[in-house]
Amino acid sequence: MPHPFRTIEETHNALKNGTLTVRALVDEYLAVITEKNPDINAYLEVFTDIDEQVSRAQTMFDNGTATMLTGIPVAMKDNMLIKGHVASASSKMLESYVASYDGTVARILKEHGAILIGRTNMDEFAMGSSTENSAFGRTKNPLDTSRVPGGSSGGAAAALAMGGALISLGSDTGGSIRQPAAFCDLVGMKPTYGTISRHGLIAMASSLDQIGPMTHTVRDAEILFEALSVHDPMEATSVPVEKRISTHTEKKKIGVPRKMISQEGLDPEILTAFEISLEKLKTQGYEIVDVDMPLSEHALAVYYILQPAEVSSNLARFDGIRFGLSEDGNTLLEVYEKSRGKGFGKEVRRRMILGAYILSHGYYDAYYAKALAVRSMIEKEFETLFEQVDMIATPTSPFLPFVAGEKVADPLAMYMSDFFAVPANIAGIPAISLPAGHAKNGLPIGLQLMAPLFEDKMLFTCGKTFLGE
Amino acid sequence: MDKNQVQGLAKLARVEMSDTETEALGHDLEHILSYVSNITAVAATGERNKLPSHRNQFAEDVVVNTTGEYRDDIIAAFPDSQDGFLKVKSILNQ
Repeated sequence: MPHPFRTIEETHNALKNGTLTVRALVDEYLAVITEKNPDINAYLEVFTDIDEQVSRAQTMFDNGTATMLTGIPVAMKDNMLIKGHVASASSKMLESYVASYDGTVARILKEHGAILIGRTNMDEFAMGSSTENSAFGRTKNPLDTSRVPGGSSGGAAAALAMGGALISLGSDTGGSIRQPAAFCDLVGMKPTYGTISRHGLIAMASSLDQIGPMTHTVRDAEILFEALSVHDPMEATSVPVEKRISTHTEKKKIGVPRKMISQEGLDPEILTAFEISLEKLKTQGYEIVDVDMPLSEHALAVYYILQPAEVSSNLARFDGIRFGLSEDGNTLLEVYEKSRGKGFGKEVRRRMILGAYILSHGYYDAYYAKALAVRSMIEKEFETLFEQVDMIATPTSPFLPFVAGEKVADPLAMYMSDFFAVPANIAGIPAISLPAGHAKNGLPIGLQLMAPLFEDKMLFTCGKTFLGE
Repeated sequence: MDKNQVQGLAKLARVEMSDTETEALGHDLEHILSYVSNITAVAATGERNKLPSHRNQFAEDVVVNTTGEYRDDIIAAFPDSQDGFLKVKSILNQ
């Protein structure tokens, strides 16, 4: 990293005791962005109100009202609404759409005086695992620019990895925080469904979407999670704090689903690194046991039924009428069809058609209703497993960060990226990806840990132990 | 999946699509559907998991923002407007 690496706490202390000003801190990051972003394309836009934000944050330090997040530069994924700023979900459909309100995470970060640096590139409407589906160009992996940073929160990961922010916020519907974190040697966490508000998050698949932190350290992720995981009355799936209960008792046992992991296609270097991680956890006091997760092996299939169905419903609002791209036509129907045909990219159109099929008469029972039933069974499978173990460990991704263009021709090959990640979205449980070694060519490898509902703290505790924080 | 079927779905999804894309999409969809169809092999017990404790959330039926608070921003986003109204295609003149 070109500038001194800091954690949130180190940065906060330096700002608090005056050895660093907010201005100087933010200027360091802006300099990196100016130098690297034209190539990396992590940020689609650096916000124009940074000076006011810096002023405000410095005042908070000067009058003693600063919190841990005050003055901290944050990169925001382009699907999170910040009032007065464009939020485009990396789509031509929303290229000029200006948010009319602050989403809850933006509101909370503003209350803390965090510096919202800009909006980061993503796969269009969060559909993808490489950020190659962005309507505004791909993002390069700063660790190897011929490769992808993962997706769909690839820009958020790259912004962090290139030194253009101290923390990032991403969203994870089927691995979109954890997989880019693994591809960029970062910590990425998807919290328990319902803990961080989706109010102001452009919806992809509402029963699966969650916002989460991407950071350099587990402690930084924990700080972000603690600030953001409040109950939000504006969001119907936000769980009230008193209902965020877990009856789990700690056993210091981690389950490994051997059969699921030995599926075809797992890179051997990832498997080696995974075994080394398990040995490390053993020395740190965890018992490693084999578990069976036969239903979770179907989670990706369940995901690619439920998610396109929800997507086709959520994206119906983009009709060229009230906001967003609008193409003229002879009739109202033509306005819809032309606006959506022009505004949506290939992958978005693919998933909407798939969703229309899945929900259509004659196929609903075979696909959607069946997927809902299997989803329930996967939830139950996890519940039963967590009676024997505290957490479940898998590699985050079956592949190392791949070369740009390598997987675009075959949608299923791309979808396989999330094989280990989607079970946590299907079941709503929290999951974290931790940097856990490198391949011989230096590419990063991630370790994924999953925990029971509302045991987010357990992931932070284990993560900090694992990384020696 | 044939081109007509895909065109029918495109119509349902209100998305205009070229012939070449429709054909390519037909192949993609067959491929994807054959993968996801694997779940038909799972013997579903038919038993749904217990109901979540958090459901049926309602908001109080009270006004929480000031009148017109968002009006200007929303009107500014209209693709076409007149006197503060959203202009849309006529549907009754045919």
